[in-house]
Amino acid sequence: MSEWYYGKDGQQYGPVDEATIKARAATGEISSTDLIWKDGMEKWLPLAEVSEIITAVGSTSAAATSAASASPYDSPQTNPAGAAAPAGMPITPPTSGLAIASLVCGILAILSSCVYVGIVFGIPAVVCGHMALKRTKVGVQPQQGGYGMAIAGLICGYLGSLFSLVLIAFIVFALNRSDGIIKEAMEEAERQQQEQNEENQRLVDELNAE
Amino acid sequence: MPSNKQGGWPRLILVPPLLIFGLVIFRFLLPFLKGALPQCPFFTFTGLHCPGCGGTRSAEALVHFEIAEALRQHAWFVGAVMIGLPVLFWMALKERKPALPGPKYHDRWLWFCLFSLLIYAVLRNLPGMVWMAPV
Repeated sequence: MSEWYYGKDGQQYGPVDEATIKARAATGEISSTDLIWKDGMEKWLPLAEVSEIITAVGSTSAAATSAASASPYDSPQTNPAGAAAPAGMPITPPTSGLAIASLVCGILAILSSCVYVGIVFGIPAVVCGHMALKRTKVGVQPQQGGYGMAIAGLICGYLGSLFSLVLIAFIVFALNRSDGIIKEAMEEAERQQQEQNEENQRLVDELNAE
Repeated sequence: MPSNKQGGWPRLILVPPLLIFGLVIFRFLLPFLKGALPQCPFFTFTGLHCPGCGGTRSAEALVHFEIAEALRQHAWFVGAVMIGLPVLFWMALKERKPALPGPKYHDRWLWFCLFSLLIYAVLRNLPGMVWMAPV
């Protein structure tokens, strides 16, 4: 039995069974331009375009049954556990939350890449980006948008991480070098001090000799 | 702006409070950070300002409420903190409570943030745009 979802006035309803959605379509509660969707459909369609709902009841139930049996992989997804995923779907194929998170972190990573925290945003951007890629690829059910956004988040995340890693390497290098410089300067000062002492000693000796 | 479950809060609502919290921490860490933060290596090597250049100085001015100085250092950052974060927070609220006024979240807002940052980063490196570059 298919579970249908429909959108009306910016609000999502469902799941309802096929009889219910037909009844609501018949009473006009769902108008012909409202979008409807069930598991296995590529995208949300206006009611008018989904023939199995608007055509006569006798032929449609036969069509629906044959469609369901023709595609055995659809049936496991129609159980309640499978229906939990599309329940969060807005009317249009939604943008993956992970893709949004990836781009937000990516922007922050780019912005903060020249201070140490670039990598703090870069890593989540990369992780979310890869997860979002998997979920937004064409053909994955339920269909989610945001593939381009995931790519953008990934690029920003990688760039930001790379850049802050280069910075950290640069700092470590500079610190080592400045350590060396400080050590050299201290040795130099010590040497000069010693020379000065010798010079003083020599002067004292000279004076004593006189 | 999807959430993990029907009627759940979009997790992005956490971003603005966390970033504001980060800025507050930043203010109290400032005395220790001074001198510890290096000059941007991208600027050191290329002489060009990276997209984040001036961001720390801008944040420093911002947490002391010196808005003009903050704008001078990194105008995009100031815009993002003072306009972007409240808008993001409000949109996340609206996702949960659709009756609230104001525009609904749309992907184009996020794309606008990214591209405006990139355009800003390019502009401030152009010869005639020195007033945009951080000092």
